[in-house]
Amino acid sequence: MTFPALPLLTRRLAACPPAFLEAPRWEGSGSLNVAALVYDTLDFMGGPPAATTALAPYLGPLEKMEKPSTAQERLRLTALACWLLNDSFFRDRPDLAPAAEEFLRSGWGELPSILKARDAVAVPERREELARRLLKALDLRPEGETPAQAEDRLGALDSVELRRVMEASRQAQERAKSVLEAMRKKAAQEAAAQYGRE
Amino acid sequence: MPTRLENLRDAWAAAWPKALALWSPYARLREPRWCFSEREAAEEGLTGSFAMIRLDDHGVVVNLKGVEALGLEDYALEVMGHEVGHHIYCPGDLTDQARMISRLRAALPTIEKHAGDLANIYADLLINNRLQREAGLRMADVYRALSGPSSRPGPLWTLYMRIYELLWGLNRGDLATGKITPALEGDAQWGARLFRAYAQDWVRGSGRFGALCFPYLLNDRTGELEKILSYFHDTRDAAAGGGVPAGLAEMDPDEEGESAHPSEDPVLGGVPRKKGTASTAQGGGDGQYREPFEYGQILKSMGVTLSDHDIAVAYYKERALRHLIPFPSRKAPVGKDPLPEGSDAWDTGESLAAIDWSETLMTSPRVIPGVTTRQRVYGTMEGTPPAPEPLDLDLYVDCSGSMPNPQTQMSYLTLAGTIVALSALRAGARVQATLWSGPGQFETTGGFVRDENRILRILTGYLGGSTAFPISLLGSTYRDRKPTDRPAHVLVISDDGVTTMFGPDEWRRSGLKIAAEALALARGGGTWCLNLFGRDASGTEYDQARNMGWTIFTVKDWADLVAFAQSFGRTHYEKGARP
Repeated sequence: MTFPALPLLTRRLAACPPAFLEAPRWEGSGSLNVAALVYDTLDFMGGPPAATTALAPYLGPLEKMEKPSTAQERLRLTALACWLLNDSFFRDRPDLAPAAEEFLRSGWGELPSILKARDAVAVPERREELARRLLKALDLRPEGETPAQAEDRLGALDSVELRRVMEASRQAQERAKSVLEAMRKKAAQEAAAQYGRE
Repeated sequence: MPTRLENLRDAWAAAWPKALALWSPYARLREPRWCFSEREAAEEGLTGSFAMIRLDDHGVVVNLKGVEALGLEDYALEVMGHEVGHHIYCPGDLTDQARMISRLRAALPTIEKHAGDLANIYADLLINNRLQREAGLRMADVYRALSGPSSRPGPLWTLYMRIYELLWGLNRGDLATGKITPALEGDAQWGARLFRAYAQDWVRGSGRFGALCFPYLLNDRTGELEKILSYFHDTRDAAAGGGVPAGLAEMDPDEEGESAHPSEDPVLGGVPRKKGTASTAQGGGDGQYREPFEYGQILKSMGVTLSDHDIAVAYYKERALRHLIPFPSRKAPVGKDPLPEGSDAWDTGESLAAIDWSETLMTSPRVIPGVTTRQRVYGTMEGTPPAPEPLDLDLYVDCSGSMPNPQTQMSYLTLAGTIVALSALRAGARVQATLWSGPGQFETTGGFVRDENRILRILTGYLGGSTAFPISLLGSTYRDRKPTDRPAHVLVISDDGVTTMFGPDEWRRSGLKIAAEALALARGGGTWCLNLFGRDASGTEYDQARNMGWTIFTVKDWADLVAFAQSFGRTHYEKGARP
């Protein structure tokens, strides 16, 4: 089984045309037609034509609970994933098309509420994260990596996980400050008590 | 036949130019000092580690025995490139080392003692990251070869190694073999961002690294940092034997503000803490000075081996430098040099010594007094101005128990004394410095000297006893002073304890009389600079002092002494003005 070289994908992402970051077409406004991109991408991969009803997730919020701003980022990220899937590696790969369709439709989770699409183009780590997420969804991994290495690297880059551990770090820092404050207070009390005795 | 270690030395010496070239094709450092035994390494000051640097002589010391014992023979470029990096990149020089340590100290409240050690591993990480990523060296393999400080690494070591893993794209557990909790993983992520963002501005990043490590050090019960450093502390004594870096007494702008956790740094994607909320770092730095104690602690963290007293001398000298002015000096009248202008007749009745015999004999070989005798006639021309005649300074600084110890707390008395004394020396004067406290309790240079260190060591000393002005010393200083001796100005810096000057000395002689005589013999005037905490210098003793000729200058706060010291010479003596 062949795997794509990660640098090729991240370079492709870095070279993404600015049009992919424009406002998604949505209720009459916006210029980025994500539904059309998805349709063309799946066609490029050799998958079966997407039914019109299957394109609904690319025309607005997934559900009422999804914030408009999050939905916009999700659609932009979907457009970026389409840009990646238009790499020659994925041409005429109908075996990958179903997984790709599922990823584009429902593979984002909390990511759009954390990651801005423009960062997924501009920041090297975020480019790598998006490329790895896509490969994982397609049950692929970067060329030259073992499944464990690929999993570990994605774990280190995962923005959602990153937010969780950085919040844990911040809380640990707060606890350390509390300990410090308690130590200072105790030292001040002891000093006051000693002064009183003298 | 060369020994095994000699072969190793030759191989490493051959790699030395390449190690230098890793940092710059123009880098020039002399070849490392090679040690073939632990004893030789110890003589060079290298203990516990296998390589070290010295910033004072820009040297590198390598313990070949230690290299062999740790199995690092194949890592010549990695080890020596790392040591060169300490010289060229981080810390590079004593000043930046000191700035880094001061920021780390601000980030480590209550555990400031770890700042020097933490500075070492911070610098190591910066250097290793650059060597691994940019020069393609096998720094990760060096750590694998060393296999960490223990088989069960603690949280700090795990964090440190996890940062390396993230920076170098290594798998989790490749270097960090300890337990990785979510908080530790988060810290490592912040750390990796920190090292990427502040690689070129590493002094500013150092405080944040300290804040990152703070919880680990606070909870460290096993001395893990010491264990880490037992392998890698190659800058432990980097400043040993060197001088004191300049500019350390003043804090960097925002020095303490930049010692917050990386999660509070917008540059790293963090959210700044709202003003008024608690932070581990306290205070601000713009235009502020450290206390002498902290100044000394920073120097000691760098491996400086000076005594507290010597450190205090360096501290007050640095603080005084910006206030120095030429000490007042009085100019003598311009001298007249005689200028020969021919000859004239010499007549009887004039001084025989005035006869110019050459001219006389040229007029006639037969000498007829009053007829053939000649004398030389002189005109005058303006001579070269003599060198300025500076007033000697006789300085008495109160060091009774109510005054701060200048070696631990900022003492404005000491600073003012230092400013005036150094100004005097700069102008060519001599200084007698005396620190005084209780009866018979004083330290003095014992005469007017020009030895700056001797004077400053007196001024930065501490007595801390009762209060009794050394009137007998004042008397003996001037009792045998000749009129041809240079005039001296007597300056006393004190509080209301100065009036003990007029009390009787140990032989029951009147202090009033001794002071008056001394002031007259000094011929340069006298000043009392007193902190009376807002009160006026009124009362019998002060009136007596004024009548005697003392000028009394009062301040409301000790800090005002600095302004007094600056204006002291300018107001009374500048441009030859007499007091």
